Parts: sequence; C-alpha cells; structure tokens
Amino acid sequence: MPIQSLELFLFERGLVGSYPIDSLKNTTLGIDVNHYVSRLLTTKKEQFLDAIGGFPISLKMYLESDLKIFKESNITPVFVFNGSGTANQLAANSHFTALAKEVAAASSITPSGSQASRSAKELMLAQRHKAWTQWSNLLNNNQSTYIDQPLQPQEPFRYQAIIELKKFQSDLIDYFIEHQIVYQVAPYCSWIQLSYLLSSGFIDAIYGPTDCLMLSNVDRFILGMEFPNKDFRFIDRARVLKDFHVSSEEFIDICMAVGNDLQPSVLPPLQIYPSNKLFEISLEMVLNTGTNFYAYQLSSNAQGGAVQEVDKYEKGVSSLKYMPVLFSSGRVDVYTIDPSREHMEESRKPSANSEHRQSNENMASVKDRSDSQEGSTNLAAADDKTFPIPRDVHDIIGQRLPDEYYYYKSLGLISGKLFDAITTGVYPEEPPLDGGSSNSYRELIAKSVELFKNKEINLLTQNINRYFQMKPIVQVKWFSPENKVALTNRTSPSVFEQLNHIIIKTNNAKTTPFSVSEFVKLLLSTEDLSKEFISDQVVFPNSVPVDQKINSAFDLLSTNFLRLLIQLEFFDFDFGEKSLTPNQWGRAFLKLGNLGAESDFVGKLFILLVFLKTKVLSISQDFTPSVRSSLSDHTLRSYPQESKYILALTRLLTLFQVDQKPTAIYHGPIDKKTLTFREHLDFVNDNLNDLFESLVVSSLTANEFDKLSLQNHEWQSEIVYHMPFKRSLPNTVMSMMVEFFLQKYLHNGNIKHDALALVSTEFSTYKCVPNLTEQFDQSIAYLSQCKVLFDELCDMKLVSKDESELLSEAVTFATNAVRGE
Amino acid sequence: MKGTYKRRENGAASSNKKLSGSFGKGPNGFGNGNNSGSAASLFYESAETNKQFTDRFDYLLVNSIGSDVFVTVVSGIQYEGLLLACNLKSTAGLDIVLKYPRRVKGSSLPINEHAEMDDTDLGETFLIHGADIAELELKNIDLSLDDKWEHEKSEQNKKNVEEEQKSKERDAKKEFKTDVDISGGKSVRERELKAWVPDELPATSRTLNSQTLEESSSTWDQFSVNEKKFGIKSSYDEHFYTTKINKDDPHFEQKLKEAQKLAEEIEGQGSSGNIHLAEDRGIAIDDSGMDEEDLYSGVDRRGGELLASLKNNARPTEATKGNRYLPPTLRTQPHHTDPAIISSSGGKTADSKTVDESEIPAQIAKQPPAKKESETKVRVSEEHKETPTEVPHHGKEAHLHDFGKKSSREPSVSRFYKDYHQRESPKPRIPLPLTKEAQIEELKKFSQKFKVPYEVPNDMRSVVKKNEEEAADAAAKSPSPKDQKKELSRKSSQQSQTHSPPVARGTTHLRRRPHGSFFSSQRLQSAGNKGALFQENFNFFKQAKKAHDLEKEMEPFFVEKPYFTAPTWNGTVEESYKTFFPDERTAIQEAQVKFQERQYNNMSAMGGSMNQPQYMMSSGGAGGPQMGMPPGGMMTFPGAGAGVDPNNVAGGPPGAHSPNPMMDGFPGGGMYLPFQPQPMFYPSMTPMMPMMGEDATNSPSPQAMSPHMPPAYMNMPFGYPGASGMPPFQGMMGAAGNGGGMPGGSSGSGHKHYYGHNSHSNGNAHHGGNHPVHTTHHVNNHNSHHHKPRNHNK
Repeated sequence: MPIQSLELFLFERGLVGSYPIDSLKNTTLGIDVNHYVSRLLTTKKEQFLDAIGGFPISLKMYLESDLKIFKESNITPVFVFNGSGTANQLAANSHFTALAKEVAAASSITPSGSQASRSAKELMLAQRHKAWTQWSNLLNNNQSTYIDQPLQPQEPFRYQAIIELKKFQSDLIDYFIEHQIVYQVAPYCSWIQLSYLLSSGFIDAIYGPTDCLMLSNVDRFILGMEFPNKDFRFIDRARVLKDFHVSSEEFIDICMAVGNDLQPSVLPPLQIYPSNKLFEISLEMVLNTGTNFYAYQLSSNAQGGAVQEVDKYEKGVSSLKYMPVLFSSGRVDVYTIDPSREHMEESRKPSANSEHRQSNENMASVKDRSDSQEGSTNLAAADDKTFPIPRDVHDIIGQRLPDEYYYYKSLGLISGKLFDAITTGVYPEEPPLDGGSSNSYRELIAKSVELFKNKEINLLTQNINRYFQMKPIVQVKWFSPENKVALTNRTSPSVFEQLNHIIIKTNNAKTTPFSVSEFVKLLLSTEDLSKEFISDQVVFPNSVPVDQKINSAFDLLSTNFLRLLIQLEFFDFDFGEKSLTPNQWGRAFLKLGNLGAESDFVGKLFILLVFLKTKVLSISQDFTPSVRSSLSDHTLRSYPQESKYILALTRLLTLFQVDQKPTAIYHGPIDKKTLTFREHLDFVNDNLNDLFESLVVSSLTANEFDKLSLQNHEWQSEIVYHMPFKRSLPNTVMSMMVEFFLQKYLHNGNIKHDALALVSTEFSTYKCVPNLTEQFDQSIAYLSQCKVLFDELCDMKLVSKDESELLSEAVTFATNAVRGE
Repeated sequence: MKGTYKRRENGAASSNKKLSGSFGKGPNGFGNGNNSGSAASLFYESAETNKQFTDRFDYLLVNSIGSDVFVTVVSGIQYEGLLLACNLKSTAGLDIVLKYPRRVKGSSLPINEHAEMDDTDLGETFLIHGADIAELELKNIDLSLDDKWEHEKSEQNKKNVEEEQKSKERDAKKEFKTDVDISGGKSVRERELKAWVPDELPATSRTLNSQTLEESSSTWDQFSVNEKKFGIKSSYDEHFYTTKINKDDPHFEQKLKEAQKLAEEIEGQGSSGNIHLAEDRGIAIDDSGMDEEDLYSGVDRRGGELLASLKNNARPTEATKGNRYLPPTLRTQPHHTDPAIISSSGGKTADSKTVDESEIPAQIAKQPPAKKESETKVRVSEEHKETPTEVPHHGKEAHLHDFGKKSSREPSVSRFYKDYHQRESPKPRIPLPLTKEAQIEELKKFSQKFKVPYEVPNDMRSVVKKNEEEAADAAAKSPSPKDQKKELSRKSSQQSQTHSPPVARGTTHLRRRPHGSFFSSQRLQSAGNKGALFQENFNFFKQAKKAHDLEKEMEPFFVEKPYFTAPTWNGTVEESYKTFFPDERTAIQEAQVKFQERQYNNMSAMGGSMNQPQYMMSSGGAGGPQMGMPPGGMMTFPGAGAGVDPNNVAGGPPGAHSPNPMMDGFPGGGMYLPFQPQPMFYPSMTPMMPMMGEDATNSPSPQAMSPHMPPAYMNMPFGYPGASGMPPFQGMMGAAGNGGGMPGGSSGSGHKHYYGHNSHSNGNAHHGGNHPVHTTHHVNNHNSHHHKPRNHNK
C-alpha cells in the first residue's frame, strides 16, 4: 500500500517528471513486484477472477509485452517480491484473526458504511459477498425461464481491490525462472530491499511505490512506466520535499499519519477527511499550524484515547528505520539507511539557525530548553557514527529466523507462510474464494492440523533455535477465531528423525528434471523399494563426505517426495524392520504411472488422491449445506441422473486447465458449486505444498544436500522450478464449459453442434480458446483416465462401487456427447 | 360567486362526511345570500386557512367521486346515486351529476307529489343544480389512497403467484407451452443486453449461402445489373459529387505533394494509443484482447496520471499558445531536449552516448550562427533519412526558424516560440537554438513588461534592477540554449501570468521537464547487465564460504548451524525502540518549535517565491490587499538589520533558497513580507482567510470558499484534539501589533504560552480577552518567548 492519496497529489502538483524509456538503456532496473502488478491489473481487469479461481491469465500477457520492451532497451529487470509482514502490516491484514472481523463485516453490508473506514480486505470480501448474493438472486429470478442458456453474472467479484499477490507469487516466480529473469523475495519489505540494492549498486534505478519517498537513500525513483508512449514517470525526492516545504522528518510524520505501507491505517485526526485528499490536508496542517502528528497521537492518548495509535505510529517509524534486508552476503540483518546523517544535518541546521535567532532575541531560556531536547532525542545519533539499533526490533518487525531460512525464502523455495506462523505464533486459515461455508471444507481444515500442520511446524522448528520449539503456535480459523487449535510441534522422535534414513540416490538423475510422473516411473522401475531407498547411514552429519550426500536436485526432490508419501501414509515405513511398502493408497498412487496420463496430470491426480483419502467428501456427494448448482432447475428435475453425472465430471475437471489465450479477460458464466470443489482441492494443494516445502527445507538445513554446489539461478531453475504443488490449480472454466455443453446437449435432443455453439458463444471462446474441440477431446481423455483410476480405487475398496460405476457412466455419457455419437 | 366560506364550512364538516347547510342561494331561502353573509362574518379566516379548507374540500370531493352519495334537494326529496362529477366552479353552490339516481324511499317531504313518478324517469344521469341542493351526504369515502394502492398491489401479487403456480403445475405436467405460458405470468423486466455473436456455421452451409458482397468472387456492378434487369441507364458521374482532380494542371505535382505532406502530417501525429483514431487512419493495430466496448464505446481510462498532468499542463500553455489544436495525447509528449533523439540523430552523438546531453546543445550554440543554421539543416536532413515521417515537421520547423532569424520583430519570435511549444510531437526532438537577436529581444521585452508585483523596498530597487540587467547580460553573453530556454519559458509564463490571474492552484505550477539524465552523472553508463551479480551474491552458502575462506582458510568449512540464530535481531543499544521517540512533553514542545520555524520559513518562503512569479502574482495581486495587513502590521524580521545572515533567513530548513540571483541579495529585513503566503499557495487553506480579513479589514476574501474543499473541512478543527486555544494567526497579529517581531516579540503582553493540546475550554475564554476567537482551529500560540510547558489554565 503506497502512501495514501499522495500519488495523485504529486501529479496535481506537477512533481512527476518523465523521461523516455530509452534513457534507461543498458541499466539494471529494480522492480517492486507488488507495485508493478498493482499497475498492471487495475480495477477493471479480471473482475471475475474470484469467481473462477486460478491465476490471472492476463498478467502473463502484460508481463510478456513489458519484458519485451525491457529487452529492446537492454534493460535488465530485477523483480523483488515482498516478504513477511511487519507487526503493523500483519495487524492491518488481520493475520491474527484470520480475517474473522472482516468476514463478519462484509456479510452485513450496510450501504451507508463509509468506504474509507473499511480495510482493503474487507472491501474485497464485501464485494465478493455482494456478487454472490446477486448471483443467487439472479438464479432465483430466472428459475422458470432458465433452461439451458447459462446466465451471466452482472456484479463483478472484485472491484477496487488489488489482486492479492501472495497467492500467485509462485506462479510469477515460475514465470521468471522460465524467462531467466532475476528475482528475489525480500525478507520483509520489498521497496526497502530495493533501496539497499540501489545503494550498493546492484541496480541502477527503482521502480517502486511512493513509499520510496520516505527513504533518504533514494533520490529518484520510477513510479510508472507508460509503455505505449515509451516513457516513464519518476519522482525526485529533493524536489518533492522542497515543493512541499517540509523536511524529510516532517514528511515521514505526515506519511505515518495518512497511512503507508509500513503503517497502513489512517490515524486521527485524519479519518474524517476524504481519503483522496488526505495527504493534501495533512500537509496543510503541517504547513499552517505546524502540526506534528506524533505529538497529536500522544496528546490524544493522554486524553484517554487509544494507545494503539501511538503504538502504530511508533512501529511505523521504527520499521522504516530498522528494516531487515537481505545483504549481498546472503545474510539478513537490520538495514539502517543511515538516516542519522541526514537527520543530524537537518536537525542541526535549523537548530543552528534558531540558536542564532534566539540569541539575537535574548531568548536564552528557550535556547537552553531546546538544546536539552535535542540532546535527549539526537544524542545517540550525534555521538555515534553508527545508527543505534534498539534491542526490541523483533517487536516491530518480527522475530528473527536463521539466515539460511531467509535465503530459501529469497529463492522462492518456500513460500514463507509457515515462517510467519513460526514467528507470529499464528497460522491463519482465511476464507476461500467461495466463502468456505461447506462442512466438508471445514472438516478439511480440522484434519489438516494432524495431517499437515503439526508435521510442518515440527520439521521447520527442529533445526532452529530452541525458542521456536517451545513456542506455542495456533491455527486460527476465520469462522471461529476464538476456537484456536494449538499446533503441537513436539513429537518424539521428530519427523525428520523418523525419515532421515529414506534417501534416494540415482546416478543419472542430473539429466531428467523432477516431476511426480518421473518419480512414479522411478518407483515403478525399482524392484525392491526397501533395499534401494532405505539407507543405513544418515547423510546429514558434517562427517559425511560431500560425495555421499545428496548431490542432485532430482535426488533431493525425490527423497523428499518419498518422505512426503510416507508422512501422508501412502507408504508404510519401518526402519527397524527395514521395510518400505506401499499400502492400498500407495498402490493406487503407483497406478498413476500406468494410466498413460500426461505427466502434468499425474501430479494433479495425486492431489485428487490425497483429497479422496481425507474422506471428507466423495466425488458425487453433495455439499452440506447445499451449494446451488448453476444447472437449471429444469435440468435437475428432468435429468436427475445426468445431473449427477455432470456434477461428478465438473468436479474432476477442476483439475483440468483449459488452454486459454491470455489476451482475453474472462467474462462468462460462473458456477459456485464447481468453485467450492475447486477450493477444496486448492486447500489440499496448498497443504501439500507447505508440507513438501518443509520437508525440503528440513533436509537442506540438516545438510543432507551439497548446498555449495549451486549458484542462485541453479537453485531456482533446478530446484524451485521443479517443486510440485507450487503453481495455482486450474480455474473452473473447463468444468463449466463441459457442464453447460452437456446441459444444452440434454435439452437439445442430443445435438452436439448446437451445444458446442452455445459454449463457444457463452464463453467467447472464439477469443480466448483457440481450439475448442481439441480442448474437449483432451478433457475427455483426462476423464477417461480418471475413470480408470476410480476403477482401480474401487478394486482396492478405497471408493464405493456406486461411486466408480456412476463415474464410469458419466464418462461414457460425456464421451458420447463430445464425440457426437 | 361561490363564497369561500361555503367551501370552508363544507370542509369543516367533511369529517363526518356530511355536507349540510347552505348549498347556494336557493330561492326558497334555505340558504340564501343572507345566510352566506352571516356565515362569512362568522367564519372569517385568513386567506391561507381558507385555502387549506378549500383544498381539503376539493380532496374530499375528488375522493368521493364514484362513491354513493345522498342529495337532499331544497324540495325535500332525497336522491341517492353515484357521484359522477361536480362542478367546483359553479357560482351558485355545487353542481353535481349523479349516476343511476333513485329516490330514497324515506324521503321526508311531499312524496305524494312525485308518487306517480318512477325511478326510471330519472334516467341514467341526473344533474342537480347547485342552487337546488340542500344537503349532500357522502358515504364510505376511502381517503387512504396509499392504502388503496398497496392493496391493489398485493392483489396483483397474489394473482401473479397464482399464475406462476399454474405455470409451474403446467411445467410439472410437461404440457406443451404457449408463449403466454412461458412469459405470461411475468411482469416485464429489463434483460441483460448481450453482445451479438455470429454463430459458427458449419463449413457446408457457409459455402452455399453465406456469400456476402465482400466475399463474392465476381465484381458486383449495380449499374449493369440495373440496366440488364430494368433497362435503366445510369447517368452517374463521380464528379457530380466530388471535385475533379485536374491532373493536367501545371501545378499538379506541387499540389499533390502538398496534399501528401498534409496527410502525412495528420497521420504522423500518431494515434497515440487512440484505437479509434488509429483505425480511422487505417493503421493496423493489435486489437486482440479488446472487445467492442474497448474499441468503440468505452471511455479510455488509461493514464489517470496523464489526466492529472494534463490539468496542469493545459492551462499555462493555453495562455501562450495559439488556437491550434493539439490532440490531448500529444500535449504531454516529451519535448525540448531529449537524450533519445540526440543519440539517434547522427554519427557523432551516437558514438558518444556517455556525453552529457546538456553539453550538446551548448556545443551547437557555440558555433557561429551561420554554421548553426547549416548544422540544423544537416541535422534535419539526417533525421529526414532516418525517419521520413518527420519530414513535415522539420521542413516547417526550419522554415520557421528562418523566419525568426530574418526578422527580428518580436511577434515572429513569440510565434516561433509558440509554435515551438505546440509542435510537440510524439518523437522528442532537440530544441533548435534561438538566434541571439531573438533572445535578446525576448529578454528586453520581458524586462520592459516585467514588474515586480509588489512594492520593492527602496534599498532593494537597485539590487533588483542590477540583477535584471545582469540576467539580461548573462543571457546575451552566454547563449547556452538550455539556460535561455529555461529563462524564456519562465519569463514567458510570467508574462502570461500577469495577464491572466491564476484560476486554480494547478496553474501556478509549471510542469518542469528535467534536463540532463535521469541518472546522476556519477553513474556508469556502461554498467550493463548486472543480472550476473545476483548469482554469487545473496547466496548464503557461497558467501559464507567466501567469508570463511578469507579468514581461516585452513579449517574445513561448515555451513553455520541455524540454531545459533536467536529469535531477536542484533541491537546495538540496550534500549527499546520506544525510547527513541520523544515523550509527550518533548514532542509537543518540538512541535511548537517547528511551528515557529514554520512561520519563520513561511516568511522566507515568500522571499523564495518571488522568483516564482506565479506566487508573486497572487500575493501581490490578490493576497496582499486581501490579507489586509495594515501598514503597521507589516511583518519585519526582528533584528534583521542586526546582522542575521540573509541566507539563513531565506534558506531555512525546507530550503527555500532562491536560485535566482535577483533574490539572493534580498536582505531579510525591511522587506514587505506577507507572513502567510500559503492561502495563495494552497487555495484550500482559506479557512484562515476570513479570519484574518475580519481581523484587519473586515473584507471577506474572495477565495474564502475554496471550490474543491469539502465543506466538512471548513468546519473541522484540524488541530490537536480538544484544542480550544487561539487561532495562530491571531497571535501573530497581536504580536505584530504589539510592535514585536514575529518570533521575538519582547512585549510582555500577557500572552501565555499554551499548548494546543490544551483541552480546557477556558483557554478559549482566556484568549478571548485579547483576541476574539473565530474558529477552533488548532493552535500553537507560539509568539511568546516564555516557554512554559504544560501551562494549562488550571
């Protein structure tokens, strides 16, 4: 979040300069990804994203065209992602309550409620809620007329809300790795990380938010790129301060009051003013009445006002002063921009002046007094060349983790969500896109504690400071924030100890990158799992020579994938008896290798397997409370059996990503029921990702891998890029296309052509899906594989006979429809 | 005429729905004029009350139309019937029309007379003259219209529901449905509009019957078809409709060229992202990803920033520019010096990319004028080769340039300048250096017209004059085009400013285009790709190894065990971050000191702003008088004469140091410095203005109502909470009045020092004694030298 209302004001005041992009030729440009993406995906774009899920495909198109221009001008972009939140940011994002308050507020919409007082997340949730309500109204109103022509929602699902980048960080990182773009995930604040990169000469310029104006070591930065005009907009800090007639201290004072990235709320007395004028108004206050907002907070505090505000203010200023960054040494420490120097100069100059004046005016008493004040506040700064760092930075920023962890985070090897849980003591479960009101989803959350979270926390805390092993960590859910579930991170023996004899070492693995399907192949080609993969010796101690450790990325990922399967109870492992055998689920997993499925689907079907294993919901079972289907009542009544088929098919197809052209932003029908199921799988995927990341990190920190062998880009392209579960799951578009295709097919006397025409019209596929029939054929192929899988599962009694029969009929039905027979 | 009293009386009676009494002046004297007269005197009411009664009466009648009424005529016979109409305008009472009249059996009087008469003889409608009516009784009038409506609606709803149920039943039965069945039960509602999309036709049908005009293989000649089919010979000649091009014209070539040039000029402007324009001009653009709305109907929302900058740009330039239209998209185009064009405009500059571009114009300028001209031409021709689309621009530019050179008359110069400004093209271009004569002329003209819009103190006059001369000389001596341009643009805007007073704040700010590079000169241009730097650096393991190798090469390297890292960051002092913040008292005190400085700086900022004519205008023209500073209240810097370094005054912390030598010489004291330039600076600051106006001259400021400020702002105290002290400027005034300088008033005039945070309301009262308090604006009463922190009234 940039400094509130400042940007517009800067433009109004003519303080934004511009240069042609060419003048950046041959330079390295540091880009704040948050800021950059907020420029790309403006409010109008991707309005239905929250209703279909998945990655905002238009983002890739923008990225592509921008990168092309960078390339033309020989500009090297360095993308820097935001890391963890500071105490202020976490509080503002309701990290500790998992958005419970916002959810409650969003569902009780009061149109009179002022927009300014609502947080961005609350607005987003409110908009989503409004859109879903409108959608169900639309369905109700058209109950009698809607037969097979799908309805289109009229209310956007996001509006004036910036897309939450955290969810898509891994997708973007994948994209950057693919295109060999340099990126970095900052330990905390991205733009301060950029300022460090700039000061140390790693980059030549910053493309960042207005917050950069608060940094004394950034003279100029780029605010926006106007690619069509081939020029960019920049801000010159000195000029801005001069034009505003404020010192940099006063400027920061204003920023803290109006709200900025480090202190996101608006402090009194400014809440009453229109949010687009905040900066202007507070600047006037400062200029005309010498308002000091800190003094204001203190005085209102003394009057019994909220202590919170003073606290927020102090934390905001302090986090600006003591922000940890990733240094080129690979270490993370507090980076003091040395504001002391500037600060000293600034405070000296006026004080020298005032002394002068005061002495002239015989105001000795004032002089004494002001001197003593200055002494108390600036003494430390003046005396010491180095900027003093207080002992409690962890209170304003967050608790410190080992440098190694921050390094993994900077690579994108681990998302950082669990790190935040460790440092804050809270793992928030925020509501999914559909609202997450189904019992099965909530059951899934409850089960995730035992299945995933405890293990993850254990894996991650085992190797670090003892403090974290003792620290209580709780899971907080948005629907009952009071009902916290303590995550037990102490197990004996620890998860890692249980697993460290599982080692996969292949000799030729350097050539093939890791993927789930490769892994299955590996297992299938192994005659004796126990013999091959159980190692008598552990490889983590320092005494083990490097060549006996895990040496390739494939082995590292395979080893940990096998450990994952053991943790998920697909394989039974007993070190005492030296046995490693697949159980029923494990055998089902191995069957994935025989389906003839494309390698991409193997990973997806594994997610499905894990989901089925949780047994919270079968593939044909309805949600409770029921979620309204987008099928028409006519269809549901006239074709009850076929409706069941369609339900099962759409659910399976949530794992199928239709090949969309990124040029068209989705506008079309939506289906909440499908989305709800997608969110179930998404939850499983996220948890699998967390667990797998934790396993890899624990393996790495324990020194099982030769960590010195890789350069940064090798870490990225060989390990990070090939980690499964990192990418977002597909959106629901293919599901819905098949759903409405089959509905039309049913009502239209089983004529394929009309049904296909309907899909092509409703989904505007002529724009976004280049080859519709091919996509349908592929989805049928995928469904057939699912059918085979279900048959196998049925044989192993992992799913009921009814279930697999239903699916079998459903797939036949769909196949006939699509093939036009 | 019908007496109003009657109506009123009737109205009064309407509560029991019985209109009795005099209905007109019946001959039988039942209620004649006499009666009415007495009634009038009895019930005299004001015209308004009468009207109310009349209205009620009318309302009653209107509502009773269609309902059953009983009329007793003067003869005593009572009739019953539906009230069909009544004539309110009738002069003798109230004429009414009854539908389906019948006599009421129990009518009191001479039934015998009419006994033989049947009800049938009354006919369907029965008109009763107002004069005959003795009494009119209205029955069962429903006065609750709203209820009626509501009732109707619910009835309707019920019906709808029934309908729907019926249709549902039908649905359930799966009967054949007619249109009415499907849509009949529904009320008309708005439907969502959907874009029409052509159905994808199968290949077979397309070939057979989808031939359109465009696709048709044979050419379609409507004339021949018409002739063949109907025998009509067309006399169509294209030249009926257009001017024939005379290709034999001796000047044809020349004209054609001219036309092409114009066309190119128009097309060369570029569509600048305007898709529509681009399409009109036949420029192929990639419109994939845009729907019809984006292409044709939607408002282009890109570049909110562009809009903002437009706001700024448009106005100051309007004053100087002619009427030539410039597409909005071009107005913000980069112009003047631009590194890009330099690097693209020829071998020499292209080779030396690292040369600071600002030097290049200087180099050009150093050459003698004649050469300069040729160089320009060379440059033009070079560019000509590279970018043919730019030809018209340059051709004309060169021409203009000649023109400006040949004649040293002022208009041409300014026209050149105008032109120069307008002709910002999407491709940034280098400025063509002005001729020396033109520059001098421009400066002379400026110096003649330019007048310091406030009274210059005597001791300043010589300085100002000298500075002006110096500036002119300097400009003449060192014809660095860059400087001149700066000078010029500033000065021309000054001129325009003196003619057109600033309307909004935006106009007071010129959008400055920075000169030189985006990067500071230290930066190595050839830095190149630094991506490689990110490979070894930031790699925790590699770097740790490196550090280790430097120190103790002998020992084996182990990656540092992560459990050594404590959960806290390394502090250098054993203090909390909170201790780095001042306590409340100190903070407030500092705020106060700041405020003093602020006031002080505001004054010096005035000094600084003098080289910014925009501000000066407002302060001299509107501000000064409006602020109504009495001469005695003129702010002076105390002790300025006593050797305060003028630079300190002018160059206070926010650094309002004037770059203009003219101002640098300004001594701090003795100069008229309106102490509050902000109202002009920030029009929305005006809440202060009326206050000051009242204080001094009682003339309300014309700017008092700032248009873009929400009214709430005007009323909101924006000081510290509960602040109830003095408006600061009152204090200022007081101090000035007391003969003291601003920060240094040595008057012990009983101003106690208050913190604005003082919530005691009697702070108000206390000050009220000295200065009337006009607003509750915050307050740092700063003008006392007695710092008495926390000096609350109690």
